[in-house]
Amino acid sequence: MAWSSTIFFRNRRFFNFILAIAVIVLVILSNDQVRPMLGDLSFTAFYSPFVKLKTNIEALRNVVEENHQLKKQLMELGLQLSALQEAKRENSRLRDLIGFRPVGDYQVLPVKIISVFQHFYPIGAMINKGSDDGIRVNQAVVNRFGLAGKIKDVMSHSATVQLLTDPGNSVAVRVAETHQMGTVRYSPDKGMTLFNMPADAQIKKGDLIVTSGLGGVFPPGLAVAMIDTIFPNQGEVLKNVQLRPAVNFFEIDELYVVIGERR
Amino acid sequence: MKFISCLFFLYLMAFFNSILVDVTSIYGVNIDLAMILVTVAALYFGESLSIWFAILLGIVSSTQRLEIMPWEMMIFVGIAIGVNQISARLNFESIASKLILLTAALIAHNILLTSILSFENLTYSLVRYILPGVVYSLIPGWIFFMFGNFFAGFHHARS
Repeated sequence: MAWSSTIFFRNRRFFNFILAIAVIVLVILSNDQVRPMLGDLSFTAFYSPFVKLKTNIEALRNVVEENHQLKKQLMELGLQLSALQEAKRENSRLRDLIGFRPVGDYQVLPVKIISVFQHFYPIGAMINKGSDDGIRVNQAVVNRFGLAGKIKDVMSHSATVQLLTDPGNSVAVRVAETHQMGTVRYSPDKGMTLFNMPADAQIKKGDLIVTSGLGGVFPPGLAVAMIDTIFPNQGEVLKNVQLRPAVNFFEIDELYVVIGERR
Repeated sequence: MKFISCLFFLYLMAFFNSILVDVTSIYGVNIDLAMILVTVAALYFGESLSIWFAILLGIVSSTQRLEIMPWEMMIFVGIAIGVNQISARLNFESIASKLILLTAALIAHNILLTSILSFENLTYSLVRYILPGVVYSLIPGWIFFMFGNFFAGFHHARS
């Protein structure tokens, strides 16, 4: 027994290194079980006190002013609602007449951003709801302006969002007016760009780009961006189109996770 | 004392990611606090402790993005060992030499992370974000080294 402890203490550095490598290999190999568990542990042990602090600070900030604004908005929205309800009834009657299935009536879950993952600019976010609240991987995440991203990893009480600004994220879209299909991606040097748009596509500055629903991840009809610049194509087959995102990714506060379609 | 410092650093990382990261970001140029903490640990806490601290910091800093967790752990451990070995062999004492080590560590971390996250056009990212970020991160790095040298000197004098 003595000889083994002598060997261990003599080669302590080596054993320490091997053990560290073993831990990393374990995390690499069992990505579906260990990573969310470690994330949960880290969240509970290190992040939760600051999340509570942040929530309390935000709740206290401008409460009175916000209350006034909300009362004013409530009045205005009440008036708008009655007009919209009438339009919805009329729309529903017309849809029934032509047998068209409505899109865009989604069930959403409001979530708070705990922290933003920045690599040069925000490319991810952590939210305060997880699998216990019905959140699943690949659910669409929106705010009041449009599509913000999708759920990437889910833990029991928190989840991570892959924002549209992440270069690894691409969205199948269509031009709202012309139904022309394309793909949207974000890169640090070009910003948000529309790919696969044919050179003869009839698009113009200001056109709204919405999700097409073809990728199978995002529901159709969510606002993604507006066309900002169309570069003249020089004998190319596809157009080069620069977009202005619907969501300001530098100022996202509240998000909503689309957890299903309303029946 | 070193264990308490490590625990404090882990909470500092969580606090930075939760509250400070938005406040300190200037036109997309951010402080790479994780790398500063790894370098400080490697320079002042010894090899064994800094390796385990690097692993824990990898977990805490990538809680927002679980897919990069093993990469962050690997990068942090690699840099912690590298910084520790270089400083031990070359006997780095002055703050300037430590800042040079930190600069190399910051550049390495950012380039590796940028490649892992599959950002296109690395040259643009290097000029627009990474190098300004390195310069920006050297300011808190310098403050950390000032404190580190102060406490190291204090312990030396006491013993």
